[in-house]
Amino acid sequence: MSLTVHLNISVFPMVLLAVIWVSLRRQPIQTTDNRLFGVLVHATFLLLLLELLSWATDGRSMGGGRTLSWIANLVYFGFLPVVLLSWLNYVYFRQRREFLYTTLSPGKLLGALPLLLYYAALFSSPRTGWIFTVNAQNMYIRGSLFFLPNLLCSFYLLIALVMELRAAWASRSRSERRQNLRFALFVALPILAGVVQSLCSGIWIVLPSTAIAELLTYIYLQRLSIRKDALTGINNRGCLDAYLDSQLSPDARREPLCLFLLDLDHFKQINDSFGHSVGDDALIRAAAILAGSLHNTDAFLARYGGDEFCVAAHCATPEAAERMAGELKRAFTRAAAKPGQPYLLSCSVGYALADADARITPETLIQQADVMLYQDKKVRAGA
Amino acid sequence: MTILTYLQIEFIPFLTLVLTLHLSTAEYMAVRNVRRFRLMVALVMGILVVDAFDWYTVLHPLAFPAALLWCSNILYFLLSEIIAFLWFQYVVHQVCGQSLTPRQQRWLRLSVIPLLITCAVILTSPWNRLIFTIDPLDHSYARGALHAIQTVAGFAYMLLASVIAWLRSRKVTLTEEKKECRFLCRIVILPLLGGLLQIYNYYLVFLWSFTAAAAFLIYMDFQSHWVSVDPLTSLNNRGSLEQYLQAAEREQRLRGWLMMMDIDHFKTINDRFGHIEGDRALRITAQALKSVFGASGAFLSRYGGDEFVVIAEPDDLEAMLRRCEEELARIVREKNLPYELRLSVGCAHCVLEGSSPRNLLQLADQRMYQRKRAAGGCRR
Repeated sequence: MSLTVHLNISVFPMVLLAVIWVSLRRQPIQTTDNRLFGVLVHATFLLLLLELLSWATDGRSMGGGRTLSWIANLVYFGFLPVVLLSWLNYVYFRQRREFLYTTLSPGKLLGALPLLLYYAALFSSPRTGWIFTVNAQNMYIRGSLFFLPNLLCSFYLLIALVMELRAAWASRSRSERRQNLRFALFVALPILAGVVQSLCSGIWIVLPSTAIAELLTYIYLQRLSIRKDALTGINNRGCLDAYLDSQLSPDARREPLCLFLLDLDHFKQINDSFGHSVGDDALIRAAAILAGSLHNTDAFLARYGGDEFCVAAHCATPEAAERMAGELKRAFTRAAAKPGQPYLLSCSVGYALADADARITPETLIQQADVMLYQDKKVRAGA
Repeated sequence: MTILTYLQIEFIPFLTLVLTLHLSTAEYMAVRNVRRFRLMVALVMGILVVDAFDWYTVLHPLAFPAALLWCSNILYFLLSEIIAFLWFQYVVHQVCGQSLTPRQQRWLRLSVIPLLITCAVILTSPWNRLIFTIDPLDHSYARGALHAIQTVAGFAYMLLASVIAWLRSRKVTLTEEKKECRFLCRIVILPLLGGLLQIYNYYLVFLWSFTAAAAFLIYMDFQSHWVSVDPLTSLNNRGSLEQYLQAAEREQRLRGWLMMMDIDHFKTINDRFGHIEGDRALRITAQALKSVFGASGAFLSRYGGDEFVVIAEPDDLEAMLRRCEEELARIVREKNLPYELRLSVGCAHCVLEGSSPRNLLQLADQRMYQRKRAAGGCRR
């Protein structure tokens, strides 16, 4: 394939990667996850560029053209593992909150062995021609071990895929599993493209599909963050509204839904006497307490507003709802019983039930829960 | 180039457009203008298909009857004109929005005339042969005398859209709107660059793939916007406030006052009238802040439950805060609300007092509480 064809194929993915990069830089919060993802995007961009350069030097009859072609190809093949390792590192960090190279284990050293062998084969290629050679017309010729780069890529991507699948397997809730399976799918995309490319000659889609996979990952991450409350990490108000709309829409397949509205007691005092940063800390802890007590259920937890939280669960009867409300309150009591608390957290709860066949709007449901919440609050204040 | 390589070239842009079309159905995209955008995306997908077919006919000219070649080329040119027109309409509606006067709307409707003329010329090209011809014998394609007219018309629409976006960016005052206008002004670079490269080298088929990238970028801008916005009030959220402060500190362009505001007795509104009414109070307050501070290039954000942070550079701070109070009182009267809306405000000067964004926020926070306490917990 000529250089023009390669330009046609490579430039578009490069533009896409540049778009992601610009968008990443404008992200409100720069987390380590974001940074590592940025490294991956950069590396892929650079690889596409190096690939173009190696094509630009291919078959040029000029002075020193042969050396140039050798160098361009060596740099390209030498850089290839960087992309894969930065992807692996990103996946690793997202799951274990540490870099791939922070701690070393026998497994990791074993995993690095193929990399060393690959580099040995690559840098001996000028002598042995194992991976590639450049012929007298300055053209790239496959070596006897030409499949090694592909094999190495597949190896590291497969490790990343297995890690994502294992995370999906170990997920605690349905939404978390779905989320992890999505990430696994994005890693599988370039592997799949690699299989197609090695089966059909003349198709060149591995790098473009890598760019697409990164794009999908980025879009998905961003969508997740649109639905997350930045402070507490649980679902935010926008997500709650969307969830209630979908659950209560007339054409949805309906299960009975119970909406719990929770309000932290005396939060204003915590905020006023300890300052906003302690108030923020209290909110984070409250969210963690609630998330902990809803473990292993398919209940939906969101932050409603300042110090109000919302839980939506599929309770069918008032008794079940009452039990759950008690359970939520007890979670706070249990947390308060632990020693070393600067302030005590507790909450008032109100709930409202929507039957499977009831026509009810989210607003009405919230209003009903609200009435009960206010009564509960009055009772608690009286006590 | 073989047809297989050509399909490969178009495959990824096509996939990106499918993705864009799918993503733009998200619930937060429920904007009137989004239909125009989706139509544009669908038409770019269509033109990629027609383009691939045209390439096939160039490689195998005698595989199809001449009439089909006429049709597919006409379709290609028509689509490219309509896409440019839709781009123009999208950008103008996005940057001007509701602020279009009836007279401007009339003018905007008249802007369809060049499109109609070009389309008429394109449609009649089998007879006038001004845009292109297909040789009846060997089915080869040749440009006509006025071939350039369709390129010029297309780019004229896109460039005009950019000029309007640029003019608008000088007029609007709200930081976010300014950003949006500038973005829509610059985005034309992509299709323009693609088109120029394709004119430079016929075999670099960049025009539509770059247009696809631009469409995707527009979607990304939409989505990124929602990352930084509080869904209830559509002010900036706390994350984007922190980013704004960090960036402003780094670039040393933090000026004016940082104001921390808190709605008095908000808890009581929530408790007595319910959370739905509380939400409404928050939205009304955000609206009032927008109408008072929006005109001065201020940065408005919702900090927490009922707290707002405004960074602005008013000539007269006290007058501004008074206007804010009056505006709130006016809305409360107008909507006949059963409660009052008042803000307690604490201010800190960004240049004179701020050693760091964190200190600024803390200082403003302390002052807000002092004022609240001094006034018995209710008045500024």
